[in-house]
Amino acid sequence: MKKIITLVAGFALLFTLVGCIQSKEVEITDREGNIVTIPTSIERIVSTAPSNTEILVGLGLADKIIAVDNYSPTEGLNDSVEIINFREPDVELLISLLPDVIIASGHNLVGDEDPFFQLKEAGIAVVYIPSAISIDGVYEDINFIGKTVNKVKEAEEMIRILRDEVEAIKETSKLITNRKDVYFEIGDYSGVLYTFGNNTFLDEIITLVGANNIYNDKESWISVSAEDIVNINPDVIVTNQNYVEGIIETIKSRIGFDTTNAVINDLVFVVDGNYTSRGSQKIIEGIKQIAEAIYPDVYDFE
Amino acid sequence: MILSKIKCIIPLLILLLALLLGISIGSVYISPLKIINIFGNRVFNMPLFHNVKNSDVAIIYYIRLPRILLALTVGGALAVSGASIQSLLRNPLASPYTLGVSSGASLGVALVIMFNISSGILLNMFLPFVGFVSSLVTVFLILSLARKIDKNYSTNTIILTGIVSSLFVNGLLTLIIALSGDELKRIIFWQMGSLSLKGYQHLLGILPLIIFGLLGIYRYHKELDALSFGEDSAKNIGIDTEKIKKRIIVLSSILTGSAIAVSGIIGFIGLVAPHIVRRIWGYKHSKLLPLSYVFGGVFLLLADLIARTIVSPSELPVGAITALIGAPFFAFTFFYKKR
Repeated sequence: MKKIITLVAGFALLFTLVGCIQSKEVEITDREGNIVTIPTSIERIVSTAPSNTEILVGLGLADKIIAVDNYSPTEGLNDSVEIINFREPDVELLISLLPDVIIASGHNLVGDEDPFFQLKEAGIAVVYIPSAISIDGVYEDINFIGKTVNKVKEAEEMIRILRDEVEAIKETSKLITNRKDVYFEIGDYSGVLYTFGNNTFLDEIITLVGANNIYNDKESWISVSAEDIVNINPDVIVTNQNYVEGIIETIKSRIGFDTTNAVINDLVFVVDGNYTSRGSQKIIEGIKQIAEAIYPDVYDFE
Repeated sequence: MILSKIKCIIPLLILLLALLLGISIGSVYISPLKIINIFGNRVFNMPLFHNVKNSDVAIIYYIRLPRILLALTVGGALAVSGASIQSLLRNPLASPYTLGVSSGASLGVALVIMFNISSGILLNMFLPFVGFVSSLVTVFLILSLARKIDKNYSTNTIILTGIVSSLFVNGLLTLIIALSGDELKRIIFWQMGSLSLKGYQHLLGILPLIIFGLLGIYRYHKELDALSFGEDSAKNIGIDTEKIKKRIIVLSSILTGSAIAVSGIIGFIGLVAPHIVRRIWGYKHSKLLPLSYVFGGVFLLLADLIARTIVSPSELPVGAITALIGAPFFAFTFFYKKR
């Protein structure tokens, strides 16, 4: 009898130990400052923003991604990957996918409302990465994702490559003597024009390549009036609305724009919207496109 | 006698003052002397001062001027159609929006944006066109539905079918917005109403329709006088009320439909402007209609002036400004009367 009890107790102890080893967890601080407990071994990842998905794929984790948002590129991901609209996420589906971690983006937050609170209550680890506002922020995001998914070395390598290319562009930009005034348009919503001031990585990029954002004195994302743009008279107009057909012609034909240096000298360019709006390692493609658009005689990345 | 003359001169003075304010204030300061010079140059080919930049000319003559003229036209059209529908339905809260004009236009525009039917350069004129057509289609559907229910087009039937159909169309609209992704912003912005980036081509595009609508409604100013006293008394003096009602509804829908087609949904002007005019100048439509036009136009011009300068260089949606000013103002005039 005693033996049996010892045996049962022994097995129980053993199983507990094994269980403990299997569900080993660590505490990390996410990019928003929340302390989150995550499993040490990550096999099933949900990514809720294109930038994070690109970083994960770049770190070689494409096969571990089980669900992404509807804007993320799905190239290279498993065929079975679930595509979820995170504006109104299907919580039940997410829980049933048994993710080890959900890598959430700052733009999933709607005001103070946390769309993932039910998932957190269900015991699923959710880490937040706010939208990057600087190139340094992109480095840190990559670093953080690397730590979260146990790919620290790969992340460091990714950051090193990105940093080298950015520094090279910075060196080249020192040759530039004429700082061109640039108006960069990110949106035209029925006549309401959107651009950005400082504290955005796009503003940092314009400075990096050696030019000047005409709304550098403003803060963050802003709408501006046509009258003001015409008055400032930009040398170059760049837009990343490549999803709008004929956007260059539309901008050139706007009333009053024909008096700006940019339109007079035919310097209106369109760059890729994804490369220039996602804070991932692919931002370098966006930087190169912007550099070549503004200073074609200085930069040549071919 | 003198009083009535002053009463006639005041609206003209207000109109002139509003035009001057509108042309001289903007996110960019251009001195009055330069502005006069720019007009001299454009109209009489006078030489430009050497310190007047090309961009100044573009701002004054090609950005601000068409914009304030468009504000006058759109605001005026909204006010006149509001005034006539209010008299017709004998309801001070009615407007073509009650008849589904705005919901119809929104639905049409949302569909175009959602399915990306046309984009780029065409979109500039294509959206207004779709907005206009879909608003008229909605009104015709509502009128034929009303006719099925009640051949006499009684006031209550029109209002109720209008409201029920608007709610239904709004439901469809909400559905589209919920299903849309990136297009969401453009639909919402269109609905908020804005006069920015509109040029002479927009003004010329809607002007024939607006003139047609205005003259058409003014032709019936006596019938409107009679109708506002009640349908029976109008019938007694030999007015074919069904015919007049249908025509006025169609004409005012043309006015509102073409106005909001270029500006997006702008509320409260059709409510506030006729209300002020009735309080000061009385109920006769020979005066009410033209004066509503002036006050509606001035109201929108000033609201737009605020929208484009208060947080310059950013712009606010003018629809928000008209409601923010319009609602308290309406409440004030209403309670003032009650006291």
